[in-house]
Amino acid sequence: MKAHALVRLKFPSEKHLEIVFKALEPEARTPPTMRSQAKLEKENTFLILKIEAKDTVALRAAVNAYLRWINSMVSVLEVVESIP
Amino acid sequence: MGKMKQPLLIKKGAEASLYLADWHGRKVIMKKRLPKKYRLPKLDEQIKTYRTNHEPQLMHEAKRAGVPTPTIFLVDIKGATIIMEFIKGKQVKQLLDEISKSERLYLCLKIGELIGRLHECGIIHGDLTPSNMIQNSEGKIFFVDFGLGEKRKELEARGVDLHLMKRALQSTHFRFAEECFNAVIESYSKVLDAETVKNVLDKIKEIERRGRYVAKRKGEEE
Amino acid sequence: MKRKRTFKSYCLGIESTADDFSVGISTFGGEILANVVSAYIPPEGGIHPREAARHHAEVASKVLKEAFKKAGIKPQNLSIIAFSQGPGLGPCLRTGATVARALASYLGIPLVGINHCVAHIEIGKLKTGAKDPVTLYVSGGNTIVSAFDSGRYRVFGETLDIALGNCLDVFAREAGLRQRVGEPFGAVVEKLAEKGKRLISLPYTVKGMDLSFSGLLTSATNLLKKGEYKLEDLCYSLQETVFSMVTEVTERALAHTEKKEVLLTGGVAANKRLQSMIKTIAEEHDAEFCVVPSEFAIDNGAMITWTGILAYTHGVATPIQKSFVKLRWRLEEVEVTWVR
Repeated sequence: MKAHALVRLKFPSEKHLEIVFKALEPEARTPPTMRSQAKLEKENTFLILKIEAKDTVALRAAVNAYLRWINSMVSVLEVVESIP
Repeated sequence: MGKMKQPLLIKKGAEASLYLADWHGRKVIMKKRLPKKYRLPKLDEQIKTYRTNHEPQLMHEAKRAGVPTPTIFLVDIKGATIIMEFIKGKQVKQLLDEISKSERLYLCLKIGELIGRLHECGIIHGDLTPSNMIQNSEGKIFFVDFGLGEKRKELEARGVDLHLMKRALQSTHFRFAEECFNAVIESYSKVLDAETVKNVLDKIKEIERRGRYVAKRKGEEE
Repeated sequence: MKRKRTFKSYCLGIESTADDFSVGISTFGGEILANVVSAYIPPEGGIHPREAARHHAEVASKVLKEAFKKAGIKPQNLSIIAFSQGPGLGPCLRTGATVARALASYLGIPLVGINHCVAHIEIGKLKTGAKDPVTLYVSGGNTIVSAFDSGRYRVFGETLDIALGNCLDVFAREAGLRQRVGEPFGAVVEKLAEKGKRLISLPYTVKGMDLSFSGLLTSATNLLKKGEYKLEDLCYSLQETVFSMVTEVTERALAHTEKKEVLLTGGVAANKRLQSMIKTIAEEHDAEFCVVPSEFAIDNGAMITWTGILAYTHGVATPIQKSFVKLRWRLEEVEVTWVR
């Protein structure tokens, strides 16, 4: 069985999107397993994350990983912006 | 222990001291394992006794397998001392830096064959490095220092033995480590059967991947 | 140390190879301003890379905030971002790497990928003043004896299977011991070992300059399960055996290289018994014994920060698009351009 997921995330600005996109690119190009693959796209201020996996278990692992990375980057950038 | 004129310390190794001595009119090497202060006396005693005991046995068996080793004259377990033939020659470690490329390859081919003979007879040297090989004036290569040796035939043991040789070459002769090791393997492959050789080579690759980090850290997935 | 104080450059470093997430900030002169570590302690069992990575992702912003607060500088003061690029656990490395890339591109400053093992050596040299040591690096993930030669840190001896720290950890877990923040398994085993008296014979496996701990671990675990020996005696015997093994190899490297310093680093460096053994061989070879303070011996951000500065000021930078993590990056693969 093949499993797909498509995630659309809206960023506060193009700058933020660009930063996160660039940081994820090396990961998308070197997937840790053959069980899943991710593709990244930009659309206005949306990040589009397309994940294709061998099964739902692998799909969930990959989606979780990407969302976690994105979340930690966003909160790190918030910290940086909050320091006057 | 017999009559002996003032032995001359020629090498203070980490594990044992080597003395050049005169023993009944013969030039000999006296290898004495020293107590290690960092180890508990009981553990120290166990290790010294084990190694003093095993080393001469393995050297004897190696010789029978066609691998030149110094002849053992006397073993004193209590004194953790071995008296053996003095081999006049040069360490391969030194030679590798001094000789030409073609001489180097020839030397490594000979070494590979000797390692093959050891492994064929189930002997693991345990510390295969160019400093533990001595070439005498006739070009004969002697293997010395079997203190960490074992009797084993498993692929793992053979793989580790060759891996050590490779590592030793890389750490002290990194400029030509690869060509040397390839030559060692080339002639090693002629002594053992093809399937064993293939398995040993696969094992070396596996060993190289291990130990680096993690793969085998218990309770983990990767 | 006198430095010009008019214009200062700062580096922020992120460490995330295994179970610690840490951020360090330091000046280019080597003054460590912050070194905040958040350790992931699994509720039970061994560390799960994905669980540890989740911890790292969760604490990243908090640790970063605290580091800035401690250092008393602004993000805009930073000149470079360094991160541990490997070796280590994939999910953990990737979490640190993504954060580091985001920071570097947000601030528009260079990114520098650092080898974790090199960083342990460099911070050790900075903190102890060692110039050119034989280094014994012992932790939960690595067991390496190395020394500098011709542009690189050459590996003289290392483990052929599991790391020494891992061997102690697994044994402690098998014995049902518990670790806490500030008291890792190694410290728990050390405490018990101090009460041990009887030396139980365990496999002592030195192969050339390399070491093997897995057979010894199995043997110790089996004896434990038999229940015939006191746990204190087993801990004592385990410590005596594994420490004697690494000390033997370190001594051989010292004799071989004739260096005049021995540096002990990594999480296991805090162990007093190991320290005394290494000190003994250092004295016998007229070498100076140097041990890294425990804050900098465990995995920490400051070591990545400091090594980042050394590398960057000697021409090393890692473009974001090429900053892939390297799970099995060997110590000797790194060109150490800053040491002559």
